[in-house]
Amino acid sequence: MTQPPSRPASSSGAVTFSDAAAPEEPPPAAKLPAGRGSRHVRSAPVGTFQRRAWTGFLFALPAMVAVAGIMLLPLFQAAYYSLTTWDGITSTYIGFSAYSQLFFHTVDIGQILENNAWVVISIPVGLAVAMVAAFLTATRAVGWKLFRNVVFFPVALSWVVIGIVFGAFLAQDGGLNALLRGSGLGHLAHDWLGSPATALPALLLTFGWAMFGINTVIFISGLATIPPDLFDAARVDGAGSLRVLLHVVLPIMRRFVGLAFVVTLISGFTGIFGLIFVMTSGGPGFSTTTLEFQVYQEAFSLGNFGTAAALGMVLFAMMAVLTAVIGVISGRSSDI
Amino acid sequence: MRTRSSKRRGARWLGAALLTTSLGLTACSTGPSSGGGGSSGKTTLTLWVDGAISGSPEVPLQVKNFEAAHPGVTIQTVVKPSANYFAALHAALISGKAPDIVSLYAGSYLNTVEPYLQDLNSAGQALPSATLAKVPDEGVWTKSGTVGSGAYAIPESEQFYNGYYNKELFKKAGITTLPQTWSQLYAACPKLRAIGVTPIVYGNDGNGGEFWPLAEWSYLLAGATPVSSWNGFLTGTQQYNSPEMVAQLTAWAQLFKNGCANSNALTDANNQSEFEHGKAAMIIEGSWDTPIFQPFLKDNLGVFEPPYSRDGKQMIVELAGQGFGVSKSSPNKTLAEQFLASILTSSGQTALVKTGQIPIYTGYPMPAISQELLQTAANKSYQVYPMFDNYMQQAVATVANKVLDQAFVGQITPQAALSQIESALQDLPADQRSATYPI
Repeated sequence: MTQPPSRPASSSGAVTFSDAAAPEEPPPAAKLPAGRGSRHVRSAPVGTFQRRAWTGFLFALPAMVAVAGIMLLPLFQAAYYSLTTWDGITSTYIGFSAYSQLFFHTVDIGQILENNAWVVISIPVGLAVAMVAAFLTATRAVGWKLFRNVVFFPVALSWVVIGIVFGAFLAQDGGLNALLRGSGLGHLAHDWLGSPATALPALLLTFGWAMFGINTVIFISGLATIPPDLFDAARVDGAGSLRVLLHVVLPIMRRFVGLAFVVTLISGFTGIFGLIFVMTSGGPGFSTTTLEFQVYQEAFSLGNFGTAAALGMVLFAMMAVLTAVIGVISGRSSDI
Repeated sequence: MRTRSSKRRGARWLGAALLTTSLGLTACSTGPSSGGGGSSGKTTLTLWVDGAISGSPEVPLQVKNFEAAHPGVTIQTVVKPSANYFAALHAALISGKAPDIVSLYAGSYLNTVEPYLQDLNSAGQALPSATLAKVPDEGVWTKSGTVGSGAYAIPESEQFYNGYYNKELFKKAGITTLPQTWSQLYAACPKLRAIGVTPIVYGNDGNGGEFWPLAEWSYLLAGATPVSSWNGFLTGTQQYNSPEMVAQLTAWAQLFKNGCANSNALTDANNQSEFEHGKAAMIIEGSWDTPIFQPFLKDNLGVFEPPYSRDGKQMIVELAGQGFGVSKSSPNKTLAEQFLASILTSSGQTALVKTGQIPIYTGYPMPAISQELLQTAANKSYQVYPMFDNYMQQAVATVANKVLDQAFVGQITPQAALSQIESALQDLPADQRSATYPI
């Protein structure tokens, strides 16, 4: 049995480029006069590339300067000040003892880190709800058009507005308790933001609501990239909606899930500050105080900018590690 | 010969270079300076006020007086929310973009921003030392309370921590005399509840978070300890979690447990409104609220001192109230100091009195409620205590602000709350536990 000429094979049968037969006709470039043609083929693209690279670099330079000035320089400054007792005017270098002091500080750093952990733990729950909503939208469930139009609405609201509205809704005489009383569940009515047991969950619920729109839109975008044939094939094979979601959609959507997780994580460690400020001021006690809120308290309420910088570096490290872990997981997943 | 493509490349290079240069220059350039005299000869000063202007109604009058006396000078009043006033002020002072005149409070509130404030003593023009020396409670407006070490702000008014009560509701409930002890206060609560009102309403005044407990904190300390020992709380020789203080906090928390307070005490955003509209019989805040409550309750508004002792100890908490300082970064320091000086003049104090506040000097006609508070303070049988939160180290006050609320509503024990406050003090560096005040 002979091999077809267009698919030359090695002796082992595997296709290798080194075993390919030489083309019968030389490429058009080889027909050009030797000197000029060879210069054109070899040197011109390199020169163009270099010039374009320099031009591109110069155009990118303002952005690079801005990024360095706005992000990197403050980061290095914060790293330095975290090793000092900076009060805004003078700073005394105290080295890494600033970090050890954090863990012996009066403010309950354990409670604060636990609160941040709950923020992270709440993210998958919020993502799962957004994923289901996006899937239902993609499968054109009843009311999908209306839902698609209003789902992004919370993203247009500021954290402060959301905090004020939810603060009123969760108050003892607010909407939630009115609903409970109206539905015969008055015994569950509660000062949701006034109790350490419910203040953080109430805050996280608000945060989840605020992030629901953006995450749903990310997932709807992701679902749009899945070929409809896959759904059809799964349906033909007898898969129900749940099985399609778990075994077809999720594996393909891992990169989008990773993106949504990172976006929510960053908001959870920064944007949630506005909610805390408006709704609970970090209380009762320290039950809703997170790292970023404590950074604000230390810096601007107490004037301990060095301690605040150290807390900020801890926050930065946590976010960097979590983001890296998510990147690795979603990267590996997409290779499967 | 230059080709069209080389011109295009040149244009790209030029464009990139211009963009880079312009961005760099923009970044390096300084913004326009705030205030200062313009070519028109007009000068604008900026004044930051803590909280809504309804809480400082005298400020527009003070500004109007000053502008009338200084043609060409305008004061732009900027109202900053109380919830983050000091945070915003701190940030503005550090960045050198602070207003010319800033609203301040005495003691440790002042200490955190004092490095950025003009020493009014050293300027010595608009505010001579002799004038400053006449200012009541001068000590707490100076560096670490040390008289003579610099003056960084002047108070405009005298203030009290006190309770307000609704006389009509008390009469309706059959309460003829104001409670003088814990037990009398407990006894009044069922009578007030029986007529369908909240005996004492607590809440955050619509500022978010929990209620502010530090007005009552001074009365709790005063009910258990002599004023002579208060510096010991600052240095650690007197312990916050002493048995006497645990008993005081337990008695205070009993108010919530007994139903004397609203069940949403921590988070009620409408507490002031409930008192104003007769849904609550008592509220504990300070004398600055007189002009707020008076229009609603008129002659039915009464004042009382929280009766936080077992034996009816007669005590009242008083200190110089809101004041003003001048930021070091102000380009108009002299004018700003002249504004401060104008507050201390007769017309400045008259403007204050017109809006229901208590002036720092005597001899001005005042509302009956303000006179009652001043007469109580002058009564020899009363012990006058200062507002202790003005003296506490800010780190300790921050912890107290959080844990006292929780102890009040029973989320933590009084012992635990006081131990946390004591720990906050002990965790401070030694140099922050050495300053004492002329209490």
